[in-house]
Amino acid sequence: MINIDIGATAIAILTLFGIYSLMAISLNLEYGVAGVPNFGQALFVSIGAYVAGLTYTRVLPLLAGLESIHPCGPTMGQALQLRSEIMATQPLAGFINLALTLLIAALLSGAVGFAVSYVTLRLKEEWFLALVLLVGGETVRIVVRGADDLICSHNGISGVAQPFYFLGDARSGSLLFMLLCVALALIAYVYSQRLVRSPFGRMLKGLRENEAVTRGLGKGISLARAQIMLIGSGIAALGGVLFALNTGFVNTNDYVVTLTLDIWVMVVLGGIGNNRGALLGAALIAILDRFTQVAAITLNMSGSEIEFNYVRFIAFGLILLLMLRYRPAGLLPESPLTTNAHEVIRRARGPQPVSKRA
Amino acid sequence: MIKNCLMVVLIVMLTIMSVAGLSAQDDMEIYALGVALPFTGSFGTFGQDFERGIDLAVAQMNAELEAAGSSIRFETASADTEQTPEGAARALQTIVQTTGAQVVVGPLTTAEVLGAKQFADENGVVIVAMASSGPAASIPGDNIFRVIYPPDTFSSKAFATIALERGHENIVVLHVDDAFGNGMNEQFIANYQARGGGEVASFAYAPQSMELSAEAAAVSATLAGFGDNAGFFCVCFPGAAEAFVQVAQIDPILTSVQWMGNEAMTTDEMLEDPGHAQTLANASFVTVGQSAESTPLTPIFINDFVAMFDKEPGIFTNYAFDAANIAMLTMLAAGNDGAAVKSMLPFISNHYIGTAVQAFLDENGDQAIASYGIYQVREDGSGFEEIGAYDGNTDTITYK
Amino acid sequence: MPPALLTTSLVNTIQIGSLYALMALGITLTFSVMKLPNFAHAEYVTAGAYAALIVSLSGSLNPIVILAAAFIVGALTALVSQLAVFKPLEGRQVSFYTLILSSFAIGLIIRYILFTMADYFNLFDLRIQIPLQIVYRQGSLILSNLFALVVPTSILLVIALTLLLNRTALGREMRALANNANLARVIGIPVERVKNVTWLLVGGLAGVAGALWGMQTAVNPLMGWVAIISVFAAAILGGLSSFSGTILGAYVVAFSENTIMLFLNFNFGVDLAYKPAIPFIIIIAVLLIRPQGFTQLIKRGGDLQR
Repeated sequence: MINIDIGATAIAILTLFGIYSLMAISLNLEYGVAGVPNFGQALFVSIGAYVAGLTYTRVLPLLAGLESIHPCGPTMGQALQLRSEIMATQPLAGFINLALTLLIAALLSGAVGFAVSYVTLRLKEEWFLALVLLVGGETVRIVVRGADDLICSHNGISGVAQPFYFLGDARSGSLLFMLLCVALALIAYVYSQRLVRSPFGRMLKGLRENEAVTRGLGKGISLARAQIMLIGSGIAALGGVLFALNTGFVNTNDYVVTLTLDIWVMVVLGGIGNNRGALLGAALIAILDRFTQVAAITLNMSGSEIEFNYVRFIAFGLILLLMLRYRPAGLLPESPLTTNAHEVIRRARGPQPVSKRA
Repeated sequence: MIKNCLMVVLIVMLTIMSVAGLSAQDDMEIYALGVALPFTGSFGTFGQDFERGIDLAVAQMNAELEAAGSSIRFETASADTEQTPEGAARALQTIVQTTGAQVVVGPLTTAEVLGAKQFADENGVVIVAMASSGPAASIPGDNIFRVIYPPDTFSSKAFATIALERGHENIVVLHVDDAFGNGMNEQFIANYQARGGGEVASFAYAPQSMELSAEAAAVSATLAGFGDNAGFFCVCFPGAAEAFVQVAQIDPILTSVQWMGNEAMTTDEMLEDPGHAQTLANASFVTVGQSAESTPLTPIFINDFVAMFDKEPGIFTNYAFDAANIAMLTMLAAGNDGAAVKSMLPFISNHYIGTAVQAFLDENGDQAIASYGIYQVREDGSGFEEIGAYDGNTDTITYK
Repeated sequence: MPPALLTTSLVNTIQIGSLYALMALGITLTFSVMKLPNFAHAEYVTAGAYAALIVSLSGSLNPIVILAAAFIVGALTALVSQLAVFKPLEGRQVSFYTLILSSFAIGLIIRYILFTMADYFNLFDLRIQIPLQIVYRQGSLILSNLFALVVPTSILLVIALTLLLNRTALGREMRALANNANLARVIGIPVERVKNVTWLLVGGLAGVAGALWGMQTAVNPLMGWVAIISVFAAAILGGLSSFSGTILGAYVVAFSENTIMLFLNFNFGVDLAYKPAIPFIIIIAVLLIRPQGFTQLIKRGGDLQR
């Protein structure tokens, strides 16, 4: 029996759209604009989530004027009850805590991204960086999973509630949280659009296209790469905070390689090097995920022997392959950069393309 | 291009919806029973088997309802948790928002249950989990009920008592490195030592690991250091357990000590290989698990399952069957209403005879009665036989 | 660390290292000849293991038949992924990362086809049932018949592959392709045919490795995916271009996961659950400190790019 709650479905999809957009914009800045192949997105996302786990257990009680309880071990239940009560009764503490979480997450993740990019300058080939980040993310995950006190190792931190929990109404709470996610995504979008059009952004694209020429123009390459990693990683961690809040639970099992791959798929689907493409990719994945799941539920109801939850992944792989083959530049290919100078020339010459990317 | 894509998606969606809509008859009241399980990931085989148990319960219930002239029917809506907490949250959201289900059977592990918790609590959806036993989800007053499968507090006591009765002065534990394995390990050590046991050395293997030769070597060397009266306790999942027995069967020390293992190791696949069966028989492999004789429902369930699916039910499948029954009975009494189901579920479940044990919930909504059979591999390795019983509430073992 | 443990762990190192070598050689070969880091390699391993499992379940326990079936299925899976996925991308000037994502995508598809099949026929966590026996025992040194099957098979296959590369026309063509694809085309090497044969070899080796891996552990749709990181670590230690380096890398990874891990556990209390992090740390360290891997250490031997 299919009885779709369209409002709730739309809110859920839009929430995921906002969260995925932050992750996709981050990767698009790093890879699409600056050419840094970050295959460790799950790491930077997870930093945001882990910070949320830490602030909800250590900072939130202090903001509410209470003593914090050790979140792991025998006092796990008490600590959970404490933070749930605070989130239900003291909205101000909740909001300040969230603001702090977002700030700390962005700063910490940005710092890690900055540091990683300096360390990896030694790498002989660019794609080594992809591999180092890929396995680095998994290594951090295994270490955090083994750490007893950080986020209670395998148990994780539950009760990482959304800031509108105090309303006591799931519908309006989820609606407001969705608006928060989408708003943050749009701010990140506007910011990254400005960044791309700035001289710094043009230099990054130059760097991506031809390192030697850009270097020849006297641009500081390593610093530029490190700066973009700082910005990108910070944005990814914001997504990670919201990702954790959306589930209400922080656990290392969520930040595996598949998350990184999903983010890559968003950027490739949407169009590499194009922030609007990142938004489109995020929207498509959020919709596709829900759509294939609904389809699997419906088809499994038909009583077939085939398990459609597997077919879902096969379909996902096929869509990705077809896109890579027939639209390798994505649905919204990168458009040539335009500056004021181009604009003047274009007006003088009449409408014709001014630059072509190789 | 994009517009075309979206149009295609829309058309397919509408077609599916209209087909599904046509199949529902107007005079029937259909209750959606949500099923959130890990169909993919390393526990995919559990998810599949659990779903069969749930399908059996639903088919039986619908047949009874039809015979009684009721207009209510149940229909399952199953979504994949991908074996991650966030995946469980998404699966739950999709089930509820797509079918209006108010009661969801599943998910499997404690991490998945906690991932689904926020959405369930805030939206008044009731979760009936059938196999999660980690202490992290023992929370009073929430919308999560963990029926039938008792917390590992009980079985860890049983294992500790068995170890001492077998005269093990020291124990080596190999456990899976997740919430279940660590919880079992910690509780076993506490119980074993409180009852006068000696030293316990624990080794953890990473979840999903399939190649356990280093772990086997470590266990073997530690056992050698512990001397003659040491025992071995494996808290492992299928797959890894088989890989472990595979390397252990030629190890001189592991083949000379007695073994205990958790219930998940008692799959048919474990004994399929003659060498493995012989190794476990020689090690007097003992486990505590659901008793096939403790309630009259057990043989009925097994017969019905074989009749419907033409195969034996997998391990723990009956727990899923029981959880689905408790969920459906409560819905018949309380309607398709999360708040009413939450309020009535303890009452209904406390009057439900399970396939393995009487259901009874404590203040956290967790199963509070444990009644296990004690199983040992037959000497010829042909199967497991029940050699005794463990009563969790009196903490006593009686041998046959 | 007790001496008996050292012996056991070294035997394990040789056995598991040989299996890693079989899998990693394919990765090195694809990377050298096709310039492709192929993550779908994991799935050729799993496909081979399932072929072996099905043959063994149907009653044939002859290792040669089992390994042959695994070789054929692995080879065909690899060839299909080349013809359906990688070949159409050639000449389109797609980025390196498009290729990586394609390999992930085809891997995903194969993995879930195997999942669907395993679910339908109920083939989860079964074993390829070669009965295990002790064939040699001297104190704490114990060798099983599986060791006697795995190690010589791996060595024979590696020798055969090295001879093929160095002594045959096909091998020369493959090496030419590895060095300079355009030049190879110009001097009239049948590039497509050489590539297809390379894919068959790569998939076949992976399939055989999967069959042996399934005898060592158990067969499920995730087995290759779980092992692939260790295997990539081995190939990276070989600089992704050197055969001898890759083989040495495979043993180094197995040595770290077994002997070094146990040493750390017994002497410093490092939890065995950190074992999966070892290949990761090896990869990071190699790429940061010595990206050429072992290639400069071993001048002779079957290097593909000289």
